Amino acid sequence: MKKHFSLFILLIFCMLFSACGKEKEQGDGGDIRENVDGDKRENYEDINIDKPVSIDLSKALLYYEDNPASLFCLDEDGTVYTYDREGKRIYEYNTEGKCVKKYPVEEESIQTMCYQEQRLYYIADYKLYAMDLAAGTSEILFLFDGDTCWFRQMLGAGDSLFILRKQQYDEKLEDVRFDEDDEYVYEGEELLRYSCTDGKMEKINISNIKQIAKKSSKELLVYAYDGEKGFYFADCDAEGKIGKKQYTQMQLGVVEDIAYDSLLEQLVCTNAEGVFFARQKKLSDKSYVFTEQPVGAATLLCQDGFTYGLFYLDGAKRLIRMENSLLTNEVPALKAYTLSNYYLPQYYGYTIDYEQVLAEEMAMILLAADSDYDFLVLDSAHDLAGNIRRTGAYYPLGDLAGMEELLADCHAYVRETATAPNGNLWMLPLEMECPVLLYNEERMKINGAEMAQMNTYTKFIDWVVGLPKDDDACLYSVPYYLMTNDILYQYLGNYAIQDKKSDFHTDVFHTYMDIMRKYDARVNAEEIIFDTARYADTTNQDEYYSKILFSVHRSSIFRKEGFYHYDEYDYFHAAPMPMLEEKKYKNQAEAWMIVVNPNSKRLKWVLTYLEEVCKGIRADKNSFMLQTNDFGDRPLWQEIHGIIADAEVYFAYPEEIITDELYRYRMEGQSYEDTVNEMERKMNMYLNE
Amino acid sequence: MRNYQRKCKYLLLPSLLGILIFYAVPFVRVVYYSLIENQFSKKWVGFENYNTLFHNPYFRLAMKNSLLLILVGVPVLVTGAMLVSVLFLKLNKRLKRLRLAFILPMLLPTAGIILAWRLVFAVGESSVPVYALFIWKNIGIAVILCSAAFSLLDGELYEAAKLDGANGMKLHWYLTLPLLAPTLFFVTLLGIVYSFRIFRESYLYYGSNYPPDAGYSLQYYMNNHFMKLNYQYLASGAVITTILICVIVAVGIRLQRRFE
Repeated sequence: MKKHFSLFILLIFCMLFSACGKEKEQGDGGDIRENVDGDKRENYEDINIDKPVSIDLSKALLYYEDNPASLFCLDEDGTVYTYDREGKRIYEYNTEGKCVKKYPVEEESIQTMCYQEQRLYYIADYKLYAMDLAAGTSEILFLFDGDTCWFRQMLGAGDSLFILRKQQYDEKLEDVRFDEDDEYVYEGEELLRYSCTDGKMEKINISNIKQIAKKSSKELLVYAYDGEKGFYFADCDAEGKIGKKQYTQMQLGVVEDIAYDSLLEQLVCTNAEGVFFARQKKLSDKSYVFTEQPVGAATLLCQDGFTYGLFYLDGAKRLIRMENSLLTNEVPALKAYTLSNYYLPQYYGYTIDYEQVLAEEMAMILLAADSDYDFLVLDSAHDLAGNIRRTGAYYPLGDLAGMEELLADCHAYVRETATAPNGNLWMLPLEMECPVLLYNEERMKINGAEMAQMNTYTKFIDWVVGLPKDDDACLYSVPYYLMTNDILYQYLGNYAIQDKKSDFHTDVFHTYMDIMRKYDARVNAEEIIFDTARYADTTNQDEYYSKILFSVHRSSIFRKEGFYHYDEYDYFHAAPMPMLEEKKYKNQAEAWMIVVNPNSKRLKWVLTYLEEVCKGIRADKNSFMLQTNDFGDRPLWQEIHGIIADAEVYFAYPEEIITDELYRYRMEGQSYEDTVNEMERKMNMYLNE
Repeated sequence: MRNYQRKCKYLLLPSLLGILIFYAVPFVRVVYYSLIENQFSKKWVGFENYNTLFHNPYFRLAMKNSLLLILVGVPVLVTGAMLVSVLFLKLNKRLKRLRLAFILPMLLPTAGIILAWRLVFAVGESSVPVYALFIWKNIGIAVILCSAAFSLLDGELYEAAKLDGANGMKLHWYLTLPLLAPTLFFVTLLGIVYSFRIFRESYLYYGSNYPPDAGYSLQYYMNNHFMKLNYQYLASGAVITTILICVIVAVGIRLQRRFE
């Protein structure tokens, strides 16, 4: 009996062991990971898969002529009208995106407008106007009560105009709440209907409305909220009758604007991540098609299978028309992890669920060989990137279509960065970025300086500290954390580590630690030393920029935010950050990249997505990491491009090794000798354990 | 009787399965991971990882510190627990309830303890604060166990021994220690287990993945390799730690049997 019992236990043990030891389930295409020798790998092209139709953004997008625009509207045949608030005029564009006419308007600050039944309607100064474009005349149709409201949007349906007005608060509606975490914000919205036939204005009986979209020539789609089940959609006919509620069950998440494509029967929405499509029947599947930020609210319209929107592109507001049918793609949603949402690649019509995680969590995910995620978006400033490269925790991309062409188009060091020690291409580069110093050459001369002379940080800091603090004379901005981090990264990348041994006992390091310590207390006491621009007493953009002497920024701000306008002014130039010594080494770049999970369940879809990314980056011609670009009318960008071209990527070490001791030295009075000894000890431990 | 034994075995099955699934099988996988190049290439390298480990000065440092805690901290813990238990034997009944106060350190939240510890002991290169913390935190359970063992000692045996001429140290050497041996062995084992669990307190106390050399233990070594994705070294370290513990336990069993 004892023997049988033991055998029984052994049998269970073996079954469990064999089950747990089983290799990851093979995908549809077989295991196509490369082995160490790299000579038995199945080629991606050999696998028989149905590739989805490629999304060609260049065909799907039409960029309208670059004229100032704050609002826009459409007429029935696709003619677009935009409003220039500063110039007080309306531009008319044909369907090719060319401006064909301009109309002056007398009224100040139009808040919303729409085109309906051969007339252009707009609201300005709390009055509803109708404009006869041919005659160039406007008439007042209605005077709104009160003077504290904002007109978010106006759409026409049938012979009615529907106006979404905000800031008309009703106490009863303020407390409506379905879920505390659903991010619903009550802004006093109400929906009004103006009848063009009899000139009457009435309020539509729908509470907690958020947005409206045109569904057809005689119908609207309203997006509202109630306390029973949260956000919902409902149809609204030309008479203002609201149809049945279709609740979203919170699957849509937070949206800033909605439009409706009646041909494809899908919603087009914007949120903080960009423009996405979603079907009302399956709202959780969001297919992102565009990751640029819309300008303001109510700047999205759909008509005849096209989506029109005003976006911030390359620092300017641009009107874009998207052909929706060319942007959708029936592929499974992809899952990606990232350590930071600062830089995410374009979606190219794929639905991608990004989740931000901590470094420890990402290490766990990698070591657990999790197959539920598809790729990672990383940057070289996290030591995890270097570890992934070193250990081989990636799917090699040597055979990815478009990869070689992309690397050939990039600066030479990008290929080096993308190549692992074993020769594999371990990542797909998305962008390179550097901190850059933007300076006003004329103002520099007035202040008796040339940027070429500021080639070391000691000279630069001494000069900055001596500058006048009067913002009437000049403004400058060197974010202290950016400067001290750059100094540290330069030291770590070029001096600190030799042959797996660290060295912080150098005069260079001592010099800069003393400098930092000297200014730490003063900066912490908010003394104005390095950043007068923060205290500028002007809101006029031209005046502000004309006073700036220099400013330090990460190069990526030009591509991302649209808040900075340095490139609009010819007098700004770009220079690399100073070096630590009078010796030349490469500028330090930070690489943003995609690393593919070799265990992904959706590997073939990830690879097709990456093909689109490769094509997209090459076609974009707006990336600093490409050797050639389309920056023609932006000389400042060309200079920044030159800085990034002369760079190398630095793979970071864990910050805590350095920063803990630095903090003690800089803030807690620890002696320099103890600090460097401890930093060397920790760094040697990290390098050699 | 046979029927009864069979039933016992069947009743043990769920626990045994649990141990197999959650301990034995994972441990076998860890052994496998220690014999490959890394988690991703899965290239077989045999004992190369172990060789690398034994030649690595930081692994040797970590091993030394971990062993030091076992060889110094645990005996101090056990001895301290014994002395406190003897003290409680001499106290009157009311004061014996104070034994429960020794359990409090185990119940208090670790982060709170560390905050207080850092006020009392400035963070420096010494590992004495960690040793002190280890003893202070774990002495309670040891005292409870030793006190229970002391209370079970039969006074008649001592009287009989005294009648036979035994006195002082002879009484304790030939009577007390052998009778307490199983408890002492168990308390020592517990102390060894707790010595590996002190990593959490140590990590919070030093506030870094790279503590002073004297505080750098095997857990730091393994934890850092986890973050570096060097699972093979982590696995090798874990296997060596297991072997180490098995050796210590085997030695302890032998000594206990000797006393019995």
